[in-house]
Parts: sequence; C-alpha cells; structure tokens
Amino acid sequence: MKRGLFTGAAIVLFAAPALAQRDVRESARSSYFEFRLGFYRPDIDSEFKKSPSMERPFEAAFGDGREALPELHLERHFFQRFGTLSGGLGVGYWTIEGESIAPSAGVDASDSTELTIVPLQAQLSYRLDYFEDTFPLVPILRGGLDYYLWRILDGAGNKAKFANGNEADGGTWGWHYTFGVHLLLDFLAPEMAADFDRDAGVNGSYLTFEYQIARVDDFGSADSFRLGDSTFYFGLTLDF
Amino acid sequence: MRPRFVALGLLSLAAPGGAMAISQGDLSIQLEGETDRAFFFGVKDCATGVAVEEKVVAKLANAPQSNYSVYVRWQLDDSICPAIDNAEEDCPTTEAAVCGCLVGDKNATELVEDFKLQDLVNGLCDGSNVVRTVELKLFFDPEDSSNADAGTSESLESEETVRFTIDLDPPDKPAEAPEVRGADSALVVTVKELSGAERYNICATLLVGADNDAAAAPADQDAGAVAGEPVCTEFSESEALAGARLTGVKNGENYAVTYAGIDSADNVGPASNPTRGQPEQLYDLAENYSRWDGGETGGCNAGGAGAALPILVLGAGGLLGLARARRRSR
Repeated sequence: MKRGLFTGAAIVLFAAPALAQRDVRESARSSYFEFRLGFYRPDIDSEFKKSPSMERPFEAAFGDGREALPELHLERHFFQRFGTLSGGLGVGYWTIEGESIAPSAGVDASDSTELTIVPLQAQLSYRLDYFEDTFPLVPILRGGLDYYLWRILDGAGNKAKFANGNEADGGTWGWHYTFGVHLLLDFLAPEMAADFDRDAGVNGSYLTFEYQIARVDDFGSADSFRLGDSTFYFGLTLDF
Repeated sequence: MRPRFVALGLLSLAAPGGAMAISQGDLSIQLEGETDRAFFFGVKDCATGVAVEEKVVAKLANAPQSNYSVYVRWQLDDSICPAIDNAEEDCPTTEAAVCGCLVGDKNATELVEDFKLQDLVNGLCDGSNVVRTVELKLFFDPEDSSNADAGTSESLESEETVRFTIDLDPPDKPAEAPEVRGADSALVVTVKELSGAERYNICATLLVGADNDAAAAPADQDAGAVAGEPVCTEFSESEALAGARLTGVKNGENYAVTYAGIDSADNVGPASNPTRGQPEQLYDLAENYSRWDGGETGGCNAGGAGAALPILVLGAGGLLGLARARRRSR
C-alpha cells in the first residue's frame, strides 16, 4: 500500500510539470549531442594470470585506479515513432601516466610511462522517449562498433617499443553495448526549456546515466591488447 | 653575430625633402642585415677579439636642403661625453677612452670605415666580473642654426641605438649541488635557479671504481676515478629547473653530475659540486608487457588511425544517408 502511494506521488511529481510544458516543445528534432564522463581502466591485465609475487603490466605501471574518460557523441535521428532510433559517432580521450618498472627491487631510479587511448565509436541508440512528456525518465539502449587508437610513451616522451622493436601505437577493434536512463530536465523549468527551444532549437536537455560494457580486443584476437571495460558514465544530452 | 671587424657606414642620406622640420624619428641606426640592436660578447669573445662583421647603417630621412652634418657617436657605459660644436673638427675618430665619434663629409651620403670594436675603448676586455656597454647613436647637426629649413637649431640624436654589451661576469658557482634521479639510459637533473643564467650546462662524468651501492652519497666521497670526457648538454632554464633529461649515459654506471650557469653572453660559470647518479634499466608499459609475453606486438598487426577512419566515416555517411532517405519518404 505504502509502495503504491509512493509510486503515485512520484508520477504526479514528475508528470505534472512535464504535462505543463508539453505544448511548448514544438520544434522538429533531428539529432542529439551528448557529453559524458566515465572513469575508465583498460582491461589489459586480463590477458595474464594474477601472480602473487609480481604485479601484471598495467597494474605495475599505473596502479589500480581509474582515470576520467570524457566523450562527445553526435547522433542523427532516423526513426521517431515509438521512441527514437538514432545513429552516429562518438569520440573520447583518455590518458594515464605511471611509473616504469625496475627489473629488481632496490633500484634507486625511476622513470615515467604513459598510455593514451582515443576511443572511436559508431553506434545505434534507441531511446524510449515516447512517454517522456508524462514521465521524464527515458531508458536508452545502445550498441555499436569500436575502434580504440592507442599509444604508449616511454620516460623520454618518445613512442615506446615492444620487445620486437615495433613502435607501441596502433588501434584495436571491438564492440560495445550500453544501457541507462536519461532524465529530462525540462520538467524542472518548463519556461526556460521553452525559451531554449525557441532561441537555440534545443528540444530537450537530459542528465544521462549510462553503463557501458565494451569488449575491445580485435574480436577475440590473442594478438591484441584487451582494451575493453565496464564503465559507468554520467553526462548531459541536448536533443535538437 | 661572431665578429671580426666593424665597418661603420653612413648611408643613403635622403634626397632633399623640402622645408619639412627634422625630428628625432628621422634618425635611424642599425646593423646591416640585423633586426636586433643589442649584441652580447662574453669572455670567450674577448679572448678571440671582440668585433662585428656587419656595417652600421645610419640614415637620415627628410634631409633639409641647408648644410648639415651627421655623425655616429659612441660612449662607454653611462659616460658623460663632451658636447660637439663642430662635428668635422671636434669629433675624435679612434681610440678614445670613453667617448668618440665618426663623421662624414658635409651633407655626406656615405661614410665607411673599418675598425675593431675593441679599439673603440681602451681596455674594453680588461678585468673580470665587469659588464661594459658601448652604445652607438646617430646625431644630426644643422650647420647654420639660423636656417629655418632644418626646422631645428639644436643637434638631434637618434632614439634608436645599437648597443654592444661586453659581459665579463659569468654566473656564480651554484650554491647547491643538483638533484639527480636515475632513469632508463638517462639522468634526470634538476638545478637550482642561478641569478644571471639563462641556460644551464649539465655534465655527467663517469666514475670508475666508485662504490655503486653508495650512489646516493655525494660524488666527491668515494668517487673513484674519473674516466673519459664528460657527457654535457645545454638546457634551457625551464627544462633545467623542471628536471632536464641528460642522455648519452649507460645504465648501471656511476656518474658525477654537475651543472653550470650560462648567461646571455655565453659565459659559462663555475661548475656546481657534484651529485652522484646512476641510470638503470627500466621497463615502460610496452617493454614490461613484452616481458610478460603479451600478445600485442605493434606493427601492421596493430592497425592505426588509417584503418579505422575510413570505416567510421563510411558508417557515419551511411547513417546520415539513411536519415535523409527517411525524411524524403515522409
């Protein structure tokens, strides 16, 4: 009973302002732009078994933390009847600096090493926004193809080399899927949202919460880095 | 500019320009082919003879029709030089102590004379820890002060100068030894800022027979013997203060590392006390990954931006095309 009351109150809370601003969201929608931020850590070490005596390569150099990965996405809508289906591109930039590894303990020397990754994504997104005028939470499902450009630098700032002499830069293919919700902000300030639409053509602004599972290893190749990760993102989307 | 002789020329005194008044801005002076007007000489230059090769080009724009003289005058430091009433008669030409000048013919259009810069002032390179300047200016002197055509009855001097600084004062010896960190085939050296230094010369000298376990100890203790020529590199101030990377050293060897300041006249100051440092083999991510027998090996296998971009562009193009097609069909 209490749960039912709570749900009803939530619907009224969200829906009433949203209904009030329904009439003013009139301009045509064609695309959306998203800026999102996640905390990413490539899964390079998953290639190796854990060793009690020795840290695996990524952990040894960079520790066990995650670094911020900002991304920009731009998608075009091409189906808007029951929810919105869109497709487009995303690009991010991620870099981490750590310590080079000494071959044995007690070495009084240190040097840096750096890994930079530029994730490129081509993806399709489906957003169930059919009910957003009455309930401002929009579920989203995404999937797509990934290509992660990567580069490793040594302590001198030069491109590092693998043991075979090849330079340590390249790209790795993969795929990803994402699920999450987008919270329509317009219901918080319908008048301001209407002005934003009239002046800038932005139909809706959303706070986004997404969880992405990526597998980036050249589709299972044993001769490639494993750059995938499960990453939580939050961000802002503008629908225009 | 590395120098032999100065050829001083008064060139191109402009054609008569009517009755316009002469002003300070009409007088210009510079070294031929140079945009800078300030030149520096250090202890090494004095050892080989301080001189410049280029001509001094002095110009008077907007010259009057009446008679006049122009002359280039020099002075040492902030010397107070006596006034020159008649340039042709009063102008000392060479080997003056602190003041001197060169004058052309009346209404001269060109004057060229060769002389060594150090001959301008006796003892220009004498002493140590001193900084001297020799400044050249162009002067205009209307011969007939009642002639209104010149627009002025006073001698004018150029605002522009050509300035030579003879700096015999190298940067001081650093009060502190450098901080040295061993890196992979390199030593990362951080220096303390030195007054007057604009660059730093960092040197590493191989120590033979030193106790490698005592690498953190001062290099002058149990230093062993110095072997071979030091490895030296010059770094900008920003690099050296932030941590300069000295390469050309071998992993596992012990080095004594010193630094010295270099000023704008290329004077190198005395070296600091040494600090020991030892480069070590270290593995960056790629090398360490290879040690673990990781599958990625770079090269063609790793693809690159060239492989991905066409596919992504095609994908994007396809999606946009699809979106347009759907719009048209509505």
